[in-house]
Amino acid sequence: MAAVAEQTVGKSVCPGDVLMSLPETGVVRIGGGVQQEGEVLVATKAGVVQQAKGGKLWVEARQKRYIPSPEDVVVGRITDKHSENYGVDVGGPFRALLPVLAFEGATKRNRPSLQPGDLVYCRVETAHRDLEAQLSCMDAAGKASGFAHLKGGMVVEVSTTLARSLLSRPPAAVLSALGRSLQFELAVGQNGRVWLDAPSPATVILVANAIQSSEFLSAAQQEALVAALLKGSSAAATRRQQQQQQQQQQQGDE
Amino acid sequence: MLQADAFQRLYPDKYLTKFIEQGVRPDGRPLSLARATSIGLGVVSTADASALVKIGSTTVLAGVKCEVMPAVADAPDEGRLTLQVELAPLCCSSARPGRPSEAAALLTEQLEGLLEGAGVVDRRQLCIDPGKAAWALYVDVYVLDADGSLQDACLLAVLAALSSLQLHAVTLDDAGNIQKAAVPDAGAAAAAAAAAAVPGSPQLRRLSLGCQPVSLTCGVYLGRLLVDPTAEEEALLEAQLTATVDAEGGILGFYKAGGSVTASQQRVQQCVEAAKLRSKEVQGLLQQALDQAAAAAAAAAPS
Amino acid sequence: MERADGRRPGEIRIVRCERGLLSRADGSAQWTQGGTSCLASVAGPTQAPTSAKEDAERATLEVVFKPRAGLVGSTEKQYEALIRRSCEAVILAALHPRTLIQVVVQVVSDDGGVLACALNAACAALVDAAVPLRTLCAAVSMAQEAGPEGQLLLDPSAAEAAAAAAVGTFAYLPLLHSVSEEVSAAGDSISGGDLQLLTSLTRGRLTSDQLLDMVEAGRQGADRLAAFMQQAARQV
Repeated sequence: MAAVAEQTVGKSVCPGDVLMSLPETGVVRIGGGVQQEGEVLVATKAGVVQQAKGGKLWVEARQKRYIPSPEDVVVGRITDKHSENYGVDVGGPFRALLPVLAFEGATKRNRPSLQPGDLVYCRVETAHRDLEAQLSCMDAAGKASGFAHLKGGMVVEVSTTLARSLLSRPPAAVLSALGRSLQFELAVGQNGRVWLDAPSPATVILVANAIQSSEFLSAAQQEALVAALLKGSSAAATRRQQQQQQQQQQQGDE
Repeated sequence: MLQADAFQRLYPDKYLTKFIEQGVRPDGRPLSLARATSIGLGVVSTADASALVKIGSTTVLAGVKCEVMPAVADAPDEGRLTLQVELAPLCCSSARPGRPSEAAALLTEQLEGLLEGAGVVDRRQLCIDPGKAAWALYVDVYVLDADGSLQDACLLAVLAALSSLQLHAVTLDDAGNIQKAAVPDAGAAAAAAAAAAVPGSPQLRRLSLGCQPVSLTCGVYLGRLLVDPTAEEEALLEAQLTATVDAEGGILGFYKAGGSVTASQQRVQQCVEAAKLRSKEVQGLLQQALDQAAAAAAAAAPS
Repeated sequence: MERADGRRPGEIRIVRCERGLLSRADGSAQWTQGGTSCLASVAGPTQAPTSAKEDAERATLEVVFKPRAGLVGSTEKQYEALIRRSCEAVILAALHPRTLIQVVVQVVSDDGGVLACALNAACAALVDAAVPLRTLCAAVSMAQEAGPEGQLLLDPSAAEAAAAAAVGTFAYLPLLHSVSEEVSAAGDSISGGDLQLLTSLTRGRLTSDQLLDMVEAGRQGADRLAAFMQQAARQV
């Protein structure tokens, strides 16, 4: 089974393509974009076949509309507040629910003070197709680990595929190139939303432009894009100045 | 132990499956038999021609109204035929009064396409005076009871109404008014007019229809072909095919709109064969109805 | 006998498919066959706006067909119904209950075979929007020339269709993976056999043999279009 699946990983498929036939025994895990039809597994979307670490076979399709699925990290905007939950817009067909107590250290007496319009970085806990998705600002162990209210900054919309590549390890070329010269904060949601914050608006806009333009570029092209954008920007010049000052100070200390 | 009605309400697909597996339908018909069909002509006295068609419970009323219209500049020797299908609010629970529903628009388009594409009515027959006046026929079709196979019943009602339509022989006088033609004198002109005229009433003439289209809707369920499905069966069918044939066995339309099952070559052939058999049956019924109507008119007319 | 533009009877016009043209739509595709071109856009799955359109178990599909000029009439309504029913047969609607998928098809230019072109554009747009599909659907238009010497023409232009004795638009599922050739007790095949005819709309008079030839030849044309659609879908 593993051997057959490896042949198809990385292949471009379209709906109706047979990925592999099911083995006699054993368990096969499938994700989005793959459907079982009788004795075979068939792709239902056009994209590239991927295999996750646990052996899960799925198809990565360039999708703009986000459909919540468990264990995704998303950037959501609070739309309304109820006694037990916040209603959150994550860009999917329906709004999601974020329980008021799903924050580290939250109790009935000590509730978080989020208002409609605020941005949150959270995790999709459950996402059944018939129910509204449940979110959480804690990881599985109950710790905050980066999930929190995002203050300030701006949100940029990208496709879900680009968001996934921005979250990959090693980091995408565009992010590492930007990180070398600029100072900014970034939260990538797999729902195609990227939150950015930086000391100056010029930096934010530069980073946003770079990310949105980098979707179909190779690593080398992304480096070139970032270099071109930085050349004409004053934010980078300020940063370079700061770096030079720091270096001079260090030399002075020695 | 569930009663049959309750079982049908709760599990309509299982209910139908139990019958189809035995080769019959819930109303007792074999799979390849259409329902009892009846045609009544001249049912609406205010219309120039009308027909009431019943296929099982499906009931459709078609009426034709004739008006004289000035001839159109780019078609000076042609008349006009306008057809409109309406699903009366009483025909089924999902029909609403007001704007024509999508189902009604689809039926209208199907029927218009069939009449046009098959050349059923040659618009030049509707000419009264080339360049000056022509007949405009308004065909209104009302579905009074929608119990499946609506296109079959609607087409048959339109065909029956048009077959029984008798146009008055009219002339245009100098002032542009329409005058009913006087009894024609004996002579060559009268002989020519009499050729198309109805025997016994020389002022009236029948339309000669280019062909006689007859539709048959079939459904596919569990790999079997069900001929003339009822509304309950239609809701459960995997696919629906409608074949329209003329009296010579020519195919005037083959319609299949999606469905969860595709059709094979054999299925297409099966449906066309069933439509041809049905066409013979329906032609016979129509001829019977026309003969009966003619006999009744002759008996009632003063001798 | 040669056709007006030099094609053989079974030759399709040059096909072109561009995906992802519209930045505001979830998916879009422009499908061109010779002089006929249709632009389709897909929005969804989104929340169904009213409970009337909502289905608790499946996604609802809505199709809007806009002609190149003029108002929307009953012909356009018929095309909408046919495109909708054909797409419903391939979309895995059960994966997105209570949602609405809206497909809008705009005719950019019309030189015959516009319904087939619109269907192909809608399918390509659904692929572009990553709506889960069971298989690809390919549509062709055919014309039967008048007279005893009349040939069967694949993908007729507007002039060829107007002069023909009968025309037809047929949609197939050429790539459908037949799981097994089941045959029922009555001897009919449960799956669509070799033909896999999904949708059919004909106009004009045909003999039985002509109709069967038409659906068969249409299937061969659809095979070629589906292969092209696969290529277009696989290119990221």
